Amino acid sequence: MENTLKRRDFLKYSGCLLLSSMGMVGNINIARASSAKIVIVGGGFAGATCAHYLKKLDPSLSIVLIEPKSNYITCPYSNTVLANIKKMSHITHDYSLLKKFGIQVIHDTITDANLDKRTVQLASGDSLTYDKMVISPGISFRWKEIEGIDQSTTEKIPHAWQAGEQTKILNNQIGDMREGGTVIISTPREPYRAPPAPFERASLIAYRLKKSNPSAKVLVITSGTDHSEKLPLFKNAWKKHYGDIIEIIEGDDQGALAKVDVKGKAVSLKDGTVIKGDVLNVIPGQQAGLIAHKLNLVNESGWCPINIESFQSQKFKNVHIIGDACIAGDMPKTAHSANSQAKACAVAIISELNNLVMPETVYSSSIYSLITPKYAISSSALYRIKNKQLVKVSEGLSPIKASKKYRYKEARFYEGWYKSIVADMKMS
Amino acid sequence: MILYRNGMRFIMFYFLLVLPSMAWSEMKAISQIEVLMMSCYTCHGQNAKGSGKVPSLHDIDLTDIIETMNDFKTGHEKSTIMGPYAKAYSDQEIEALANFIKNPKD
Repeated sequence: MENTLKRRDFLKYSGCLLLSSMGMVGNINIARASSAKIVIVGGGFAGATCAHYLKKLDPSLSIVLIEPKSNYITCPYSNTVLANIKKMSHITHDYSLLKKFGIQVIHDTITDANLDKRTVQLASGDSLTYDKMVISPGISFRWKEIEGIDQSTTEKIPHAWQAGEQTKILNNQIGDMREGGTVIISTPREPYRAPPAPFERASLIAYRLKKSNPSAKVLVITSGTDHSEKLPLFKNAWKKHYGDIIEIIEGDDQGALAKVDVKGKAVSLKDGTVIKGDVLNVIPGQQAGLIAHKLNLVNESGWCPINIESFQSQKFKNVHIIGDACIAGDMPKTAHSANSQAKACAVAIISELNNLVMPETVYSSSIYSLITPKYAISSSALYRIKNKQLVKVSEGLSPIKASKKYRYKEARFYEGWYKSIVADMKMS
Repeated sequence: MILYRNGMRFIMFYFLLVLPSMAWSEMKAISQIEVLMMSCYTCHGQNAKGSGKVPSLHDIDLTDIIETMNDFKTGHEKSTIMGPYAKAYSDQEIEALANFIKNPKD
Protein backbone atom coordinates (compact mmCIF):
# COMPACT_ATOMS: atom_id res chain seq x y z
CA MET A 1 0.00 0.00 0.00
CA GLU A 2 2.84 2.26 0.93
CA ASN A 3 4.22 2.36 -2.52
CA THR A 4 1.06 2.69 -4.43
CA LEU A 5 -0.35 5.92 -5.67
CA LYS A 6 -3.31 6.62 -3.43
CA ARG A 7 -6.41 8.42 -4.59
CA ARG A 8 -5.63 11.44 -2.42
CA ASP A 9 -2.10 11.55 -3.81
CA PHE A 10 -3.50 11.53 -7.29
CA LEU A 11 -5.75 14.43 -6.37
CA LYS A 12 -2.79 16.26 -4.86
CA TYR A 13 -0.68 15.81 -7.97
CA SER A 14 -3.44 16.71 -10.35
CA GLY A 15 -3.96 19.83 -8.21
CA CYS A 16 -0.30 20.67 -8.72
CA LEU A 17 -0.66 20.33 -12.45
CA LEU A 18 -3.69 22.57 -12.37
CA LEU A 19 -1.87 25.20 -10.34
CA SER A 20 1.14 25.10 -12.60
CA SER A 21 -0.98 25.42 -15.67
CA MET A 22 -2.60 28.46 -14.07
CA GLY A 23 0.87 29.89 -13.64
CA MET A 24 1.53 29.40 -17.30
CA VAL A 25 -1.76 30.98 -18.24
CA GLY A 26 -0.54 34.00 -16.29
CA ASN A 27 2.52 34.07 -18.50
CA ILE A 28 0.48 34.04 -21.65
CA ASN A 29 -1.56 36.94 -20.36
CA ILE A 30 1.54 38.95 -19.68
CA ALA A 31 2.77 38.30 -23.18
CA ARG A 32 -0.38 40.01 -24.40
CA ALA A 33 0.14 42.91 -22.02
CA SER A 34 3.74 43.40 -23.09
CA SER A 35 2.61 44.82 -26.34
CA ALA A 36 0.30 47.30 -24.63
CA LYS A 37 0.97 50.93 -25.36
CA ILE A 38 0.14 53.55 -22.78
CA VAL A 39 -0.02 57.24 -23.62
CA ILE A 40 0.14 59.61 -20.65
CA VAL A 41 -0.89 63.21 -21.17
CA GLY A 42 0.68 65.59 -18.64
CA GLY A 43 3.94 65.09 -16.76
CA GLY A 44 3.24 66.43 -13.28
CA PHE A 45 2.87 64.71 -9.93
CA ALA A 46 0.13 62.45 -11.32
CA GLY A 47 1.38 61.72 -14.85
CA ALA A 48 5.10 61.34 -14.17
CA THR A 49 4.51 59.14 -11.09
CA CYS A 50 2.11 56.98 -13.09
CA ALA A 51 4.67 56.58 -15.89
CA HIS A 52 7.34 55.64 -13.35
CA TYR A 53 5.19 53.02 -11.60
CA LEU A 54 3.76 51.51 -14.78
CA LYS A 55 7.29 50.91 -16.05
CA LYS A 56 8.53 49.74 -12.66
CA LEU A 57 5.70 47.23 -12.33
CA ASP A 58 5.82 46.00 -15.92
CA PRO A 59 9.04 46.96 -17.76
CA SER A 60 7.68 45.47 -20.98
CA LEU A 61 5.02 48.18 -21.34
CA SER A 62 5.55 50.81 -23.99
CA ILE A 63 4.93 54.18 -22.33
CA VAL A 64 4.79 57.57 -24.00
CA LEU A 65 4.55 60.69 -21.85
CA ILE A 66 3.37 63.83 -23.61
CA GLU A 67 4.31 67.03 -21.83
CA PRO A 68 4.84 70.41 -23.50
CA LYS A 69 7.35 71.76 -20.97
CA SER A 70 10.91 70.47 -20.82
CA ASN A 71 11.20 71.47 -17.16
CA TYR A 72 8.72 70.71 -14.46
CA ILE A 73 8.43 73.42 -11.82
CA THR A 74 6.53 72.23 -8.78
CA CYS A 75 3.79 74.10 -6.97
CA PRO A 76 4.74 72.49 -3.65
CA TYR A 77 7.60 74.50 -2.19
CA SER A 78 7.07 77.35 -4.68
CA ASN A 79 6.01 79.61 -1.79
CA THR A 80 9.53 79.24 -0.41
CA VAL A 81 10.75 81.00 -3.57
CA LEU A 82 8.37 83.89 -2.82
CA ALA A 83 9.87 83.99 0.68
CA ASN A 84 13.40 84.20 -0.73
CA ILE A 85 14.25 81.01 1.17
CA LYS A 86 14.77 78.87 -1.93
CA LYS A 87 15.73 79.58 -5.51
CA MET A 88 13.67 78.61 -8.56
CA SER A 89 16.27 75.93 -9.30
CA HIS A 90 15.21 74.12 -6.12
CA ILE A 91 11.71 73.54 -7.50
CA THR A 92 12.76 72.96 -11.12
CA HIS A 93 13.16 69.39 -12.37
CA ASP A 94 13.41 67.62 -15.70
CA TYR A 95 12.50 64.39 -17.43
CA SER A 96 15.97 62.99 -18.08
CA LEU A 97 15.75 60.23 -15.47
CA LEU A 98 12.32 59.17 -16.68
CA LYS A 99 13.74 58.97 -20.21
CA LYS A 100 16.66 56.86 -18.98
CA PHE A 101 14.15 54.64 -17.22
CA GLY A 102 12.62 53.77 -20.58
CA ILE A 103 9.76 56.24 -20.82
CA GLN A 104 9.45 57.97 -24.18
CA VAL A 105 8.93 61.65 -23.31
CA ILE A 106 7.58 63.81 -26.13
CA HIS A 107 7.58 67.55 -25.49
CA ASP A 108 4.48 68.44 -27.43
CA THR A 109 0.83 69.35 -26.97
CA ILE A 110 -2.23 67.27 -27.76
CA THR A 111 -4.48 69.08 -30.18
CA ASP A 112 -7.18 66.44 -30.50
CA ALA A 113 -7.98 62.78 -29.95
CA ASN A 114 -10.40 60.16 -31.14
CA LEU A 115 -11.24 58.27 -27.99
CA ASP A 116 -13.24 55.61 -29.82
CA LYS A 117 -10.43 54.85 -32.25
CA ARG A 118 -7.81 55.39 -29.53
CA THR A 119 -5.68 57.90 -31.38
CA VAL A 120 -4.24 61.27 -30.36
CA GLN A 121 -3.02 64.11 -32.53
CA LEU A 122 -0.08 66.27 -31.55
CA ALA A 123 0.63 69.88 -32.44
CA SER A 124 3.69 68.71 -34.40
CA GLY A 125 1.34 66.88 -36.76
CA ASP A 126 2.23 63.42 -35.49
CA SER A 127 -0.44 61.07 -34.28
CA LEU A 128 -0.22 58.23 -31.79
CA THR A 129 -2.32 55.20 -31.02
CA TYR A 130 -2.79 53.70 -27.59
CA ASP A 131 -4.31 50.79 -25.71
CA LYS A 132 -4.73 52.88 -22.58
CA MET A 133 -4.53 56.62 -22.14
CA VAL A 134 -3.90 58.36 -18.83
CA ILE A 135 -4.86 62.01 -18.69
CA SER A 136 -3.38 64.17 -15.95
CA PRO A 137 -3.76 67.73 -17.17
CA GLY A 138 -3.94 69.47 -13.79
CA ILE A 139 -6.05 72.60 -13.60
CA SER A 140 -7.23 75.46 -15.76
CA PHE A 141 -9.00 78.66 -14.67
CA ARG A 142 -12.61 79.83 -14.72
CA TRP A 143 -11.83 83.30 -15.93
CA LYS A 144 -15.40 84.52 -16.19
CA GLU A 145 -16.06 84.41 -12.47
CA ILE A 146 -14.24 87.62 -11.56
CA GLU A 147 -14.80 90.71 -13.68
CA GLY A 148 -11.70 92.46 -14.98
CA ILE A 149 -9.20 89.60 -15.13
CA ASP A 150 -8.41 86.85 -17.59
CA GLN A 151 -5.44 85.08 -19.13
CA SER A 152 -4.25 88.38 -20.67
CA THR A 153 -3.91 90.10 -17.29
CA THR A 154 -1.78 87.43 -15.58
CA GLU A 155 1.44 89.41 -16.06
CA LYS A 156 -0.02 92.25 -14.03
CA ILE A 157 -2.22 90.22 -11.68
CA PRO A 158 -0.38 86.89 -11.28
CA HIS A 159 -2.21 83.91 -9.84
CA ALA A 160 1.03 81.94 -9.41
CA TRP A 161 -1.16 78.86 -9.02
CA GLN A 162 0.78 77.07 -11.73
CA ALA A 163 4.40 77.40 -10.75
CA GLY A 164 6.96 78.76 -13.21
CA GLU A 165 6.81 82.09 -14.97
CA GLN A 166 3.92 83.12 -12.74
CA THR A 167 6.00 82.46 -9.62
CA LYS A 168 8.75 84.70 -11.00
CA ILE A 169 6.31 87.52 -11.78
CA LEU A 170 4.80 87.47 -8.30
CA ASN A 171 8.24 87.18 -6.76
CA ASN A 172 9.46 90.27 -8.65
CA GLN A 173 6.35 92.27 -7.80
CA ILE A 174 6.83 91.57 -4.08
CA GLY A 175 10.48 92.59 -4.35
CA ASP A 176 9.60 95.81 -6.20
CA MET A 177 6.74 96.78 -3.89
CA ARG A 178 6.87 100.23 -2.26
CA GLU A 179 7.68 100.51 1.40
CA GLY A 180 4.60 99.88 3.51
CA GLY A 181 2.67 98.41 0.56
CA THR A 182 -0.01 95.72 0.73
CA VAL A 183 0.01 92.29 -0.91
CA ILE A 184 -3.53 91.03 -1.41
CA ILE A 185 -4.07 87.28 -1.77
CA SER A 186 -7.58 86.11 -2.59
CA THR A 187 -8.77 82.50 -2.61
CA PRO A 188 -11.36 81.02 -4.96
CA ARG A 189 -14.33 78.89 -4.07
CA GLU A 190 -13.65 75.21 -3.54
CA PRO A 191 -12.62 72.86 -4.90
CA TYR A 192 -9.24 74.22 -5.86
CA ARG A 193 -5.67 73.01 -6.00
CA ALA A 194 -3.90 72.72 -2.63
CA PRO A 195 -6.52 74.32 -0.32
CA PRO A 196 -4.27 75.54 2.53
CA ALA A 197 -1.55 76.83 0.20
CA PRO A 198 -2.85 80.44 0.03
CA PHE A 199 -2.31 80.60 3.80
CA GLU A 200 1.17 79.16 3.47
CA ARG A 201 1.81 81.80 0.82
CA ALA A 202 0.58 84.59 3.11
CA SER A 203 2.83 83.27 5.88
CA LEU A 204 5.96 83.09 3.76
CA ILE A 205 5.42 86.46 2.07
CA ALA A 206 5.04 87.91 5.58
CA TYR A 207 8.28 86.18 6.55
CA ARG A 208 10.05 87.98 3.71
CA LEU A 209 8.38 91.35 4.30
CA LYS A 210 9.11 91.30 8.02
CA LYS A 211 12.80 91.41 7.08
CA SER A 212 12.82 93.52 3.93
CA ASN A 213 9.77 95.77 4.21
CA PRO A 214 8.55 95.60 7.82
CA SER A 215 5.79 98.19 7.52
CA ALA A 216 4.19 96.26 4.61
CA LYS A 217 1.06 94.15 5.01
CA VAL A 218 -0.43 90.95 3.66
CA LEU A 219 -4.20 90.85 3.33
CA VAL A 220 -5.86 87.47 2.75
CA ILE A 221 -9.41 87.47 1.43
CA THR A 222 -10.95 84.02 1.62
CA SER A 223 -13.97 82.57 -0.06
CA GLY A 224 -15.63 81.80 3.23
CA THR A 225 -16.08 78.05 2.94
CA ASP A 226 -12.41 77.83 3.71
CA HIS A 227 -12.01 74.91 4.17
CA SER A 228 -9.18 74.92 5.95
CA GLU A 229 -9.56 73.22 9.22
CA LYS A 230 -5.99 74.46 9.37
CA LEU A 231 -7.01 78.10 9.50
CA PRO A 232 -7.01 78.34 13.34
CA LEU A 233 -3.48 76.91 13.29
CA PHE A 234 -2.41 79.55 10.80
CA LYS A 235 -4.05 82.40 12.71
CA ASN A 236 -2.41 81.24 15.89
CA ALA A 237 1.03 81.16 14.31
CA TRP A 238 0.55 84.44 12.42
CA LYS A 239 -0.11 86.29 15.64
CA LYS A 240 2.97 84.80 17.21
CA HIS A 241 5.37 85.30 14.30
CA TYR A 242 4.01 88.19 12.31
CA GLY A 243 1.99 90.33 14.72
CA ASP A 244 -0.37 92.43 12.63
CA ILE A 245 1.42 91.99 9.30
CA ILE A 246 -1.19 89.48 8.11
CA GLU A 247 -4.85 90.41 8.11
CA ILE A 248 -7.71 88.23 6.94
CA ILE A 249 -11.18 88.92 5.60
CA GLU A 250 -13.38 85.85 5.53
CA GLY A 251 -15.76 86.27 2.64
CA ASP A 252 -18.57 84.79 0.67
CA ASP A 253 -18.60 81.08 -0.09
CA GLN A 254 -19.03 81.72 -3.81
CA GLY A 255 -15.56 83.20 -4.12
CA ALA A 256 -13.95 86.13 -2.44
CA LEU A 257 -14.00 88.75 -5.18
CA ALA A 258 -16.50 90.25 -7.61
CA LYS A 259 -14.15 92.46 -9.58
CA VAL A 260 -10.52 93.41 -10.07
CA ASP A 261 -9.40 96.85 -11.26
CA VAL A 262 -6.15 95.94 -12.98
CA LYS A 263 -4.94 99.51 -13.63
CA GLY A 264 -6.04 100.92 -10.29
CA LYS A 265 -4.70 97.84 -8.41
CA ALA A 266 -7.90 97.35 -6.42
CA VAL A 267 -10.28 94.49 -5.71
CA SER A 268 -14.02 94.66 -5.09
CA LEU A 269 -15.66 92.28 -2.67
CA LYS A 270 -19.11 90.86 -3.37
CA ASP A 271 -20.69 93.44 -1.05
CA GLY A 272 -19.17 96.28 -3.09
CA THR A 273 -16.30 97.15 -0.73
CA VAL A 274 -13.26 98.28 -2.71
CA ILE A 275 -9.80 97.54 -1.33
CA LYS A 276 -6.65 98.98 -2.81
CA GLY A 277 -3.45 96.98 -2.85
CA ASP A 278 0.04 97.13 -4.33
CA VAL A 279 0.52 93.53 -5.37
CA LEU A 280 -2.61 91.60 -6.25
CA ASN A 281 -2.35 87.82 -6.15
CA VAL A 282 -5.85 86.84 -7.23
CA ILE A 283 -6.24 83.06 -7.35
CA PRO A 284 -9.09 82.38 -9.78
CA GLY A 285 -11.67 79.60 -9.59
CA GLN A 286 -10.48 76.34 -11.07
CA GLN A 287 -11.54 73.40 -13.20
CA ALA A 288 -9.88 70.44 -14.93
CA GLY A 289 -7.10 71.21 -17.44
CA LEU A 290 -8.32 72.36 -20.84
CA ILE A 291 -7.58 69.14 -22.73
CA ALA A 292 -10.09 67.34 -20.48
CA HIS A 293 -12.75 69.84 -21.62
CA LYS A 294 -11.79 69.51 -25.26
CA LEU A 295 -12.05 65.71 -25.08
CA ASN A 296 -15.43 65.96 -23.32
CA LEU A 297 -14.20 64.19 -20.20
CA VAL A 298 -15.71 66.68 -17.74
CA ASN A 299 -19.19 66.93 -16.26
CA GLU A 300 -21.12 70.08 -15.32
CA SER A 301 -18.76 70.69 -12.38
CA GLY A 302 -15.84 71.23 -14.77
CA TRP A 303 -13.97 68.22 -13.32
CA CYS A 304 -13.74 64.64 -14.64
CA PRO A 305 -16.01 61.91 -13.26
CA ILE A 306 -14.21 58.58 -12.90
CA ASN A 307 -14.70 55.06 -11.67
CA ILE A 308 -12.72 55.35 -8.47
CA GLU A 309 -11.40 51.77 -8.50
CA SER A 310 -9.59 52.16 -11.81
CA PHE A 311 -9.63 55.96 -12.37
CA GLN A 312 -11.23 55.12 -15.71
CA SER A 313 -13.37 57.88 -17.15
CA GLN A 314 -17.09 57.41 -16.66
CA LYS A 315 -17.49 58.68 -20.19
CA PHE A 316 -14.89 56.75 -22.21
CA LYS A 317 -13.33 53.33 -21.85
CA ASN A 318 -9.54 53.03 -21.89
CA VAL A 319 -9.11 56.61 -20.69
CA HIS A 320 -7.99 57.09 -17.10
CA ILE A 321 -7.91 60.47 -15.38
CA ILE A 322 -5.76 61.18 -12.35
CA GLY A 323 -4.58 64.16 -10.31
CA ASP A 324 -6.31 67.49 -9.78
CA ALA A 325 -8.54 67.04 -12.85
CA CYS A 326 -10.44 64.00 -11.56
CA ILE A 327 -13.25 63.78 -9.03
CA ALA A 328 -11.83 61.43 -6.41
CA GLY A 329 -14.40 61.53 -3.63
CA ASP A 330 -13.36 64.10 -1.07
CA MET A 331 -9.62 63.66 -1.59
CA PRO A 332 -8.16 67.17 -1.68
CA LYS A 333 -6.47 68.27 -4.89
CA THR A 334 -2.90 67.98 -3.67
CA ALA A 335 0.40 66.65 -5.02
CA HIS A 336 0.22 63.81 -2.51
CA SER A 337 -3.30 62.83 -3.67
CA ALA A 338 -2.08 62.92 -7.28
CA ASN A 339 0.87 60.69 -6.36
CA SER A 340 -1.38 58.20 -4.60
CA GLN A 341 -3.91 58.14 -7.44
CA ALA A 342 -1.12 57.65 -9.98
CA LYS A 343 0.06 54.48 -8.26
CA ALA A 344 -3.45 53.09 -7.86
CA CYS A 345 -4.12 53.84 -11.53
CA ALA A 346 -0.89 52.09 -12.60
CA VAL A 347 -1.87 49.00 -10.61
CA ALA A 348 -5.41 49.11 -12.03
CA ILE A 349 -4.15 49.33 -15.63
CA ILE A 350 -1.69 46.48 -15.22
CA SER A 351 -4.31 44.36 -13.46
CA GLU A 352 -6.79 44.96 -16.25
CA LEU A 353 -4.32 44.29 -19.05
CA ASN A 354 -3.42 40.97 -17.42
CA ASN A 355 -6.92 39.93 -16.41
CA LEU A 356 -5.91 40.00 -12.77
CA VAL A 357 -8.01 41.12 -9.84
CA MET A 358 -6.89 44.57 -8.70
CA PRO A 359 -5.35 44.22 -5.23
CA GLU A 360 -7.06 46.30 -2.56
CA THR A 361 -5.15 49.48 -1.92
CA VAL A 362 -5.15 52.64 0.17
CA TYR A 363 -5.25 56.22 -1.02
CA SER A 364 -3.38 58.81 0.96
CA SER A 365 -3.07 62.54 1.08
CA SER A 366 -1.04 64.88 3.20
CA ILE A 367 -0.23 68.51 2.89
CA TYR A 368 2.38 70.44 4.76
CA SER A 369 2.42 74.21 5.13
CA LEU A 370 5.40 76.25 6.19
CA ILE A 371 4.69 79.25 8.37
CA THR A 372 8.33 80.10 8.95
CA PRO A 373 11.28 78.09 7.60
CA LYS A 374 11.41 76.30 10.94
CA TYR A 375 7.71 76.05 11.68
CA ALA A 376 5.37 73.80 9.70
CA ILE A 377 1.94 72.30 10.18
CA SER A 378 0.36 69.38 8.36
CA SER A 379 -2.86 67.56 7.69
CA SER A 380 -3.23 64.03 6.41
CA ALA A 381 -5.90 61.51 5.56
CA LEU A 382 -6.17 57.95 4.38
CA TYR A 383 -8.94 56.54 2.20
CA ARG A 384 -10.13 53.10 1.16
CA ILE A 385 -12.76 51.88 -1.25
CA LYS A 386 -15.94 50.60 0.36
CA ASN A 387 -18.95 49.72 -1.80
CA LYS A 388 -17.29 51.32 -4.82
CA GLN A 389 -16.98 54.64 -2.98
CA LEU A 390 -13.85 56.29 -1.71
CA VAL A 391 -14.25 56.55 2.05
CA LYS A 392 -12.02 58.52 4.40
CA VAL A 393 -10.95 56.06 7.10
CA SER A 394 -8.76 58.36 9.15
CA GLU A 395 -7.52 61.91 9.23
CA GLY A 396 -5.34 64.12 11.34
CA LEU A 397 -4.10 67.63 11.81
CA SER A 398 -1.16 69.15 13.66
CA PRO A 399 -2.11 70.04 17.23
CA ILE A 400 -2.98 73.65 18.01
CA LYS A 401 -0.50 73.57 20.87
CA ALA A 402 2.91 72.13 20.20
CA SER A 403 6.52 72.78 21.05
CA LYS A 404 8.95 74.64 18.83
CA LYS A 405 10.74 71.36 18.37
CA TYR A 406 7.58 69.68 17.08
CA ARG A 407 6.95 72.45 14.52
CA TYR A 408 10.57 72.30 13.40
CA LYS A 409 10.31 68.53 13.06
CA GLU A 410 7.34 69.00 10.74
CA ALA A 411 9.30 71.56 8.71
CA ARG A 412 12.09 69.02 8.27
CA PHE A 413 9.62 66.26 7.40
CA TYR A 414 8.16 68.62 4.79
CA GLU A 415 11.61 68.89 3.24
CA GLY A 416 12.02 65.10 3.27
CA TRP A 417 8.53 64.63 1.85
CA TYR A 418 9.31 67.04 -1.00
CA LYS A 419 12.51 65.25 -1.89
CA SER A 420 10.77 61.90 -1.75
CA ILE A 421 7.69 62.79 -3.79
CA VAL A 422 9.92 64.29 -6.50
CA ALA A 423 11.93 61.05 -6.55
CA ASP A 424 8.64 59.17 -6.88
CA MET A 425 8.17 61.02 -10.20
CA LYS A 426 11.67 59.83 -11.14
CA MET A 427 12.85 63.42 -11.29
CA SER A 428 15.67 63.09 -8.75
CA MET B 1 8.17 2.11 -6.35
CA ILE B 2 10.06 4.16 -3.77
CA LEU B 3 11.83 5.79 -6.62
CA TYR B 4 8.50 6.37 -8.28
CA ARG B 5 7.05 7.98 -5.17
CA ASN B 6 10.09 10.23 -4.70
CA GLY B 7 9.85 11.12 -8.32
CA MET B 8 6.26 12.16 -7.80
CA ARG B 9 7.32 14.22 -4.79
CA PHE B 10 9.86 15.96 -6.96
CA ILE B 11 7.27 16.59 -9.63
CA MET B 12 4.90 17.93 -6.98
CA PHE B 13 7.64 20.20 -5.62
CA TYR B 14 8.54 21.39 -9.08
CA PHE B 15 5.03 22.08 -10.23
CA LEU B 16 3.74 23.48 -6.97
CA LEU B 17 6.64 25.69 -5.95
CA VAL B 18 9.29 26.14 -8.59
CA LEU B 19 7.34 26.55 -11.79
CA PRO B 20 4.65 28.90 -10.50
CA SER B 21 7.30 31.04 -8.80
CA MET B 22 9.23 31.21 -12.06
CA ALA B 23 6.09 32.23 -13.83
CA TRP B 24 5.23 34.77 -11.14
CA SER B 25 8.64 36.35 -11.01
CA GLU B 26 8.52 36.84 -14.74
CA MET B 27 4.97 38.06 -14.56
CA LYS B 28 5.57 40.51 -11.71
CA ALA B 29 2.12 39.89 -10.29
CA ILE B 30 1.43 42.66 -7.83
CA SER B 31 0.66 41.55 -4.31
CA GLN B 32 -1.55 43.55 -2.01
CA ILE B 33 1.32 44.23 0.38
CA GLU B 34 3.45 45.54 -2.47
CA VAL B 35 0.61 47.89 -3.38
CA LEU B 36 0.13 49.06 0.22
CA MET B 37 3.89 49.53 0.49
CA MET B 38 3.85 51.96 -2.44
CA SER B 39 2.08 54.44 -0.19
CA CYS B 40 5.12 54.54 2.09
CA TYR B 41 7.45 55.55 -0.76
CA THR B 42 5.73 58.92 -1.17
CA CYS B 43 7.42 60.20 2.02
CA HIS B 44 9.94 57.53 3.03
CA GLY B 45 11.87 57.59 -0.26
CA GLN B 46 12.37 54.98 -2.94
CA ASN B 47 12.00 51.49 -1.46
CA ALA B 48 11.46 53.24 1.90
CA LYS B 49 15.19 53.92 2.23
CA GLY B 50 14.60 57.33 3.81
CA SER B 51 14.42 60.88 2.53
CA GLY B 52 16.06 63.70 4.47
CA LYS B 53 14.67 63.57 8.00
CA VAL B 54 11.96 61.08 7.03
CA PRO B 55 13.54 57.87 8.31
CA SER B 56 14.56 54.81 6.34
CA LEU B 57 12.29 51.93 7.34
CA HIS B 58 15.21 49.55 6.81
CA ASP B 59 17.08 51.06 9.77
CA ILE B 60 14.32 50.10 12.18
CA ASP B 61 13.98 46.61 13.68
CA LEU B 62 11.00 44.58 12.63
CA THR B 63 9.49 44.54 16.11
CA ASP B 64 10.14 48.28 16.48
CA ILE B 65 8.24 49.02 13.27
CA ILE B 66 5.26 47.04 14.54
CA GLU B 67 5.41 48.51 18.05
CA THR B 68 5.87 52.07 16.85
CA MET B 69 2.98 51.79 14.41
CA ASN B 70 0.80 50.41 17.19
CA ASP B 71 1.89 53.22 19.51
CA PHE B 72 1.10 55.79 16.83
CA LYS B 73 -2.26 54.12 16.47
CA THR B 74 -3.11 54.32 20.17
CA GLY B 75 -1.47 57.70 20.62
CA HIS B 76 1.03 56.32 23.14
CA GLU B 77 3.74 57.74 20.96
CA LYS B 78 3.47 61.27 19.67
CA SER B 79 3.47 61.45 15.91
CA THR B 80 2.95 63.92 13.10
CA ILE B 81 1.28 62.59 9.95
CA MET B 82 1.91 58.94 10.85
CA GLY B 83 -0.78 58.97 13.54
CA PRO B 84 -3.75 59.02 11.17
CA TYR B 85 -1.98 56.68 8.74
CA ALA B 86 -1.26 54.09 11.43
CA LYS B 87 -4.92 54.17 12.51
CA ALA B 88 -6.02 53.25 9.00
CA TYR B 89 -4.10 49.95 8.89
CA SER B 90 -5.16 46.71 10.57
CA ASP B 91 -2.75 44.86 12.88
CA GLN B 92 -2.33 42.20 10.20
CA GLU B 93 -1.48 44.80 7.56
CA ILE B 94 1.07 46.46 9.84
CA GLU B 95 2.72 43.12 10.48
CA ALA B 96 2.71 42.19 6.82
CA LEU B 97 4.16 45.58 5.84
CA ALA B 98 6.91 45.29 8.45
CA ASN B 99 7.73 41.78 7.20
CA PHE B 100 7.77 43.00 3.62
CA ILE B 101 10.24 45.77 4.48
CA LYS B 102 12.55 43.26 6.14
CA ASN B 103 12.14 40.54 3.51
CA PRO B 104 11.33 42.23 0.22
CA LYS B 105 10.77 39.92 -2.71
CA ASP B 106 13.49 41.47 -4.77
